[in-house]
Amino acid sequence: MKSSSFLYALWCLGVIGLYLTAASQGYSPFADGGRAAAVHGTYGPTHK
Amino acid sequence: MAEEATVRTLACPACGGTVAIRAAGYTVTLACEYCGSLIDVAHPDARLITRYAEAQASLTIPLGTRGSLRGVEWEAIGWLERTDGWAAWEEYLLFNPYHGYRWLIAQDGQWSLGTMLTATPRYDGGEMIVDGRSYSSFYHDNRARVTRVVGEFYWRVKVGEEVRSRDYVRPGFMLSLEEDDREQSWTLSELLLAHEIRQAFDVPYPPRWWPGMTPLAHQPSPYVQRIRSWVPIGAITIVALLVLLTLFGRTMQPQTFGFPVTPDGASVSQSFGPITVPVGRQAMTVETLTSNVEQGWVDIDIAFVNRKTQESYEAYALNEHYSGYDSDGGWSEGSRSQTLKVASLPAGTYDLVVDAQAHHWGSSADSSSWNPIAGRYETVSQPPVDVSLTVARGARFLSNFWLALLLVLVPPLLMLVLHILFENARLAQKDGPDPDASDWIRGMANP
Repeated sequence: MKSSSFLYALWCLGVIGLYLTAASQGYSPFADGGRAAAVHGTYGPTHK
Repeated sequence: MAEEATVRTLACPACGGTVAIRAAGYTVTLACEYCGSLIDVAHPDARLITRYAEAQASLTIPLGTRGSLRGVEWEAIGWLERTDGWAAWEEYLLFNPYHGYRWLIAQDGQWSLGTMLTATPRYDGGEMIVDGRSYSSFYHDNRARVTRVVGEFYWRVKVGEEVRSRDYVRPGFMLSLEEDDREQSWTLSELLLAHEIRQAFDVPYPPRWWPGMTPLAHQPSPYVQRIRSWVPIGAITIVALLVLLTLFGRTMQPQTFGFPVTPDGASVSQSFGPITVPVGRQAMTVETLTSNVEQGWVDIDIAFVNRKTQESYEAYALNEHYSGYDSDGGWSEGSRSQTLKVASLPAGTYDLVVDAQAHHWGSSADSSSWNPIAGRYETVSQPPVDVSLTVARGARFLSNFWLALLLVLVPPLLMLVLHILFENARLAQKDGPDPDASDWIRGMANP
């Protein structure tokens, strides 16, 4: 295996590891919860 | 023994030095290694053709050097430098008594091994065909001129000699036609790998290509092989991520709670529980449903409050629904349900605290609403909105999957960008139209 392939495989393993860690901890940087101040949207229909 | 049979010596008519003819019987002209004079060895008295004022060039491969390329030992017997007015390159003539001549062509630190063809390539569909492989046109009408020459050659070479040339390429190979008024010759050159030429003649490694440099016309993109070898690794990783997405995305033990909220009334606060996270950290999924909200919205704030530490994990949902009628017909918008995912709740017992406030799109609870049967707005009293919440342990975060997928694809995409830059720089030298996507794909073809 070439060194570039080995490094890429290592990179992919790292990504899988991070994903596995996040999944086992129930973590996502894009989760709805945990945000200190929820953003309240504008109200009412936007239909014209 | 073969070496003894082919090497002959003669005295240079200019300086008297003893000059060895390495390919005796084939060599026509020979440059004296002491004074650089060009000697006609075909003449019985080794006539002096021309005398060079400059000393013999300092060559990367000194003449007489032997090296093994692909199982054949070659000796460098001649060297010449040529130019087409734009670029200059060097050509070493290699000789082996059993295999004949080859050309070792050096340009910009890259080395190619050229073999003269004995048959004329076939022309088919705008491309030249040799041994079933097609070569596309690259340089149309160049003129290659000899600028310096040292060593032995099988024709009467001299400085200023000029031929017309055409070049056809495929990744890693160049097919060249050289012709003058008397003859045509075809040469097929193959770009040598860095370690091949290094092992054979101990020359420096070719420079690595970086954006801004001009590659050779037949230089294959160094990024193609990398992308190809990465494809199976990336595919396996994506499959693994899909498996993990399936395994870790399930929800379990759903609990449902509900209460009514009056539109434009006071905010209603309710607490439900206990909700237990047994071990570690876990995400929670909360589905908020307001099935009868109409022409209005409901603000729903939820918070998982740890009974022991009072730590709070909050989220917010906005359920809304509007409908009406205009010249295009009926319309509706908004969603009566939302799914919230709360990340990483530590193990413990929680209360779900919900604050909900319903609003009607208008000024008060008694407001107008569109009656499609009557075809007009009517004033109606707003009924309470039923708020229902379903809480389950676990959550499937698709965003994590997309983020991981992006990270997996970033290196190959970077290589693809470099490949396109490389191909653009290579094809910029080509005679013809500007490169496009088909050229980039063609550059990814197998050598």
